[in-house]
Amino acid sequence: MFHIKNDNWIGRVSAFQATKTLENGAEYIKGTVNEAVVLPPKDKVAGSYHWDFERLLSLSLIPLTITSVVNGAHPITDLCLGVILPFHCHLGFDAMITDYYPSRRSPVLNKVLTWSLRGATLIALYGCYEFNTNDVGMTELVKKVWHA
Amino acid sequence: TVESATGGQVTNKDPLNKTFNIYRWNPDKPAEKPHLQQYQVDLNACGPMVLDALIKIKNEQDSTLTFRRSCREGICGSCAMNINGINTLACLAKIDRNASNTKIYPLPHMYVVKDIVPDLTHFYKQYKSIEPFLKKKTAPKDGEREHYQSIADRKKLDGLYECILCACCSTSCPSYWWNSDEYLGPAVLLQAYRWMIDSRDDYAQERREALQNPFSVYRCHTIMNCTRTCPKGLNPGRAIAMIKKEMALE
Repeated sequence: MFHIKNDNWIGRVSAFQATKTLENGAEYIKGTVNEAVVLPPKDKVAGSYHWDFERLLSLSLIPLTITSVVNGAHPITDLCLGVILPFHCHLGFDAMITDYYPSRRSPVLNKVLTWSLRGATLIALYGCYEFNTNDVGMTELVKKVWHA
Repeated sequence: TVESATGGQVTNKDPLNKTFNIYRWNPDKPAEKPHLQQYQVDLNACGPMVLDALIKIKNEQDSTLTFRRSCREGICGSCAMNINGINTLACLAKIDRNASNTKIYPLPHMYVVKDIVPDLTHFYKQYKSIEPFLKKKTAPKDGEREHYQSIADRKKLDGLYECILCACCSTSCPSYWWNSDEYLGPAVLLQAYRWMIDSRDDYAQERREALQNPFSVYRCHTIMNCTRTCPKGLNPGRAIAMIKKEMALE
């Protein structure tokens, strides 16, 4: 609490009030009170392209689900569902990991969770493929469970 | 009893005593844990707003009670605090005369300087990072001293320029609670949008590009606590959605 970052008085006051190191707080002041926050490096892939892709998958799931409900099982819609659903869920869970365990605050846990999620998505993709190919298919499964 | 200012007939109102539970913490005694202190206030001898009660308590009962205040009319943004669970300005929040008590806390998930005064250093640094000033690419022509703007273009700024940077919205956002170092928060993003769509500003694209990262904008998950709590009735959630839309189409 009493770490003194700068020699000047203002720096000392702000250091007393708000300086928290990375280990024990979500927020910490870098630099003096007069310096603007430095925005992270620009990366469209992680930025707007990622957001666009998320919304694209979400939107495509709407007609896909409707046709599956109305039309019943069909190999193509099952294939699309079996690919898009795991990716959609992966992006959703990944957003949660970024929110609650960002790499700047919990570097190890973030890595562990991200890679576990990737592994789980791969297993889900494989599982959907197996189920769609050698079993009744996803739409048929939902139908069976619904009417069971 | 209530005194009459003109010295005429006085109707004696029975005192209406209500409890105020106020968060207290003293940095001069940091080992003492923060606690709620109770104060009794006669609402019939007090102004209608929570700030009136706070000032009355500070005047008459406990002068060590510390809080920020200035304009007392909802335009400066100093008295932003959490009243009965809602982030508003104390000078605009009417005291609930029917409730038995009023809870006053500092803005959530902010470091506390003293009592209900939060440390807004990081908030202001984030505001500075979006460069909230007009930027032109070309020098003004000789003789032209104003930056002309049509009425329609000026209308686009309505609902954005009125922000008083009280921090009620940002401190009501769970995403800002968990990621305030890197997520800019609704208040700052509202202002970022205000400069993006200002027709006199030439750097709209650069402003959008500066936000191209997973955190500055995209931690917003449209929780919409911000719009709900804004004491000025602004809509930061919508401004953030418009930023996302403009960035998506680039």
